[in-house]
Amino acid sequence: MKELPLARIAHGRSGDKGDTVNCGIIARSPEYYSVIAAQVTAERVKAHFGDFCRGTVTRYDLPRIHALNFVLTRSLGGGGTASLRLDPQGKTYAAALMRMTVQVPDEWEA
Amino acid sequence: MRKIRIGGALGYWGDRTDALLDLLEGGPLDYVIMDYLAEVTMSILQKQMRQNPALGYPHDFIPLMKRALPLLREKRVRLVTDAGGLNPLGLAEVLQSTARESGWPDLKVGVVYGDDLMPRLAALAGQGIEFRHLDTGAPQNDISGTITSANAYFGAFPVAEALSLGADIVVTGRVNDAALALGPCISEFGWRADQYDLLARGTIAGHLLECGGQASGGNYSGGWQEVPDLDHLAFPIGEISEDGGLVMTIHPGQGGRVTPPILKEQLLYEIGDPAAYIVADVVCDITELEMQDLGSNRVEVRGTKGHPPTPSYKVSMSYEDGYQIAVGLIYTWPDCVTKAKASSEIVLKRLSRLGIRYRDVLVSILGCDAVHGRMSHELDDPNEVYLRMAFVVEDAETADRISREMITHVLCGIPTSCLFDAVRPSPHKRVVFWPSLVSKSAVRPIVKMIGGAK
Repeated sequence: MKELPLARIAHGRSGDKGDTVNCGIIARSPEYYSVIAAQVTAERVKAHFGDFCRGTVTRYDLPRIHALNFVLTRSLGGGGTASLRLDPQGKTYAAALMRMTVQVPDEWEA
Repeated sequence: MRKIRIGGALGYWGDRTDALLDLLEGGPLDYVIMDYLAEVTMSILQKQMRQNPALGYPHDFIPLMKRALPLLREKRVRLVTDAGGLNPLGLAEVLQSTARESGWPDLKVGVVYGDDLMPRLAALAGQGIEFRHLDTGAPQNDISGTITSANAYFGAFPVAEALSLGADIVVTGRVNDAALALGPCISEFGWRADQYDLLARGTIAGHLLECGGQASGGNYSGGWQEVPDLDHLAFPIGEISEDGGLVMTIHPGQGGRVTPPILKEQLLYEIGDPAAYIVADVVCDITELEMQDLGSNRVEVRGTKGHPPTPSYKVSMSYEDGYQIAVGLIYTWPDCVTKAKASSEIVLKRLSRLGIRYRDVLVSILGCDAVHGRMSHELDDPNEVYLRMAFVVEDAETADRISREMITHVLCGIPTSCLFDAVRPSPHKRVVFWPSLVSKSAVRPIVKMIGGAK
């Protein structure tokens, strides 16, 4: 097995609803999906965001399109125009999640 | 099978406006939708309307219409937009006179309104509606007195009604973003309120179209290098058929791409539970949705299911609470990160010495950890960083004092700093968003037709 940043086997987009942010994560190839689903758990995502996520993380699975959706509550410093953050609408949160590492088989050319 | 082509010409107020003209000129189209309203937009419009009661809608909409009206008329494309903001009736009147001046005297504008709850907040509270916060459950009277906007999100049926009454352009206040596209489907195909699968399919089409270029290669993380000509990005088109079939595409000859990965990013954008994506007309389930690449920038989307809607409209409220100011300085090599951190501590000491009070502060260092915080990786020895200090304060005067103090550190503080801008940053009012619900029996959309042949 080798360790890679999630960005090598997935891509995604994030957006806001008030102080809640969601990260849609999509496998770059269908074969990557089961590895992502097994390793990118709600618990790991919550730990990854650390003090950025003051609420909960819920994961929803969309196996038909090889994607996961993570919903992080109380994670935008108040959200919208109330937040002091540089990214109060969470536009770059999916990119931040892509920093997480995953273990993949050595033979994967990702 | 009957089919309509709907273009998504705008993702938010401030988005590219030439996309509308490209959509109209680039090939066949039946409808075009423009979504102007984000969560924060209503409070911006409210602020404008306080200064000028004739406004309350995006001020650049009419100049754009001066360019677009002849094309809409010539190509027989009908426009559906929530540009009405807080004043859809006012906008419709101005649109009418603009049309007269551009040689379209019988333009028929359909107006959908009644979503603005501000005039009725006290009455609704009297009926026992508490407008509890959707996430925290707190009642709205926690914030009463400072509310600046309150709008219900209506569905697509009033939009469809306006179209069926012959509107060339439909102008709405707050509706679900996707309702702008579902409305034309209901009107064209006669979809009924209990045909949940169909309503859900039209809603997902709208969801894919409502953010403009994000569905055709803009802001795409899966391989932005493979998206051609972002300088001439084609905005997305949904081909929707009577049975809810959907093919997403773009006009040929423009930039951008439509592929399953690009559409998947937009599909998941700003959603919660994919088994229950709630809009006013239906609850959508996209857990069995599939995409098939048909080639040539055409992707078929199928498998969306629908369930009965909830008894409530979503309400978005906003209220004012204090002021915000962000100030900062650039620090350069050598040791710029250490200097920026030390400088932030000295600035806070100075504020304390001067008796300047703030409610909250966020210190971040651009080029280092400003956007992703502790998730950022360590940097060796950057050439320059920007120290940003953002504050919440009670009033504009305090914010201004902080802004004045910051620039003194160029001469009085840690060395090798310079200003980011010649203009000192100014404070703005802090607007807080308050999502809520209201019973569908308590508020009612109104449809009014303006203009048409005399």
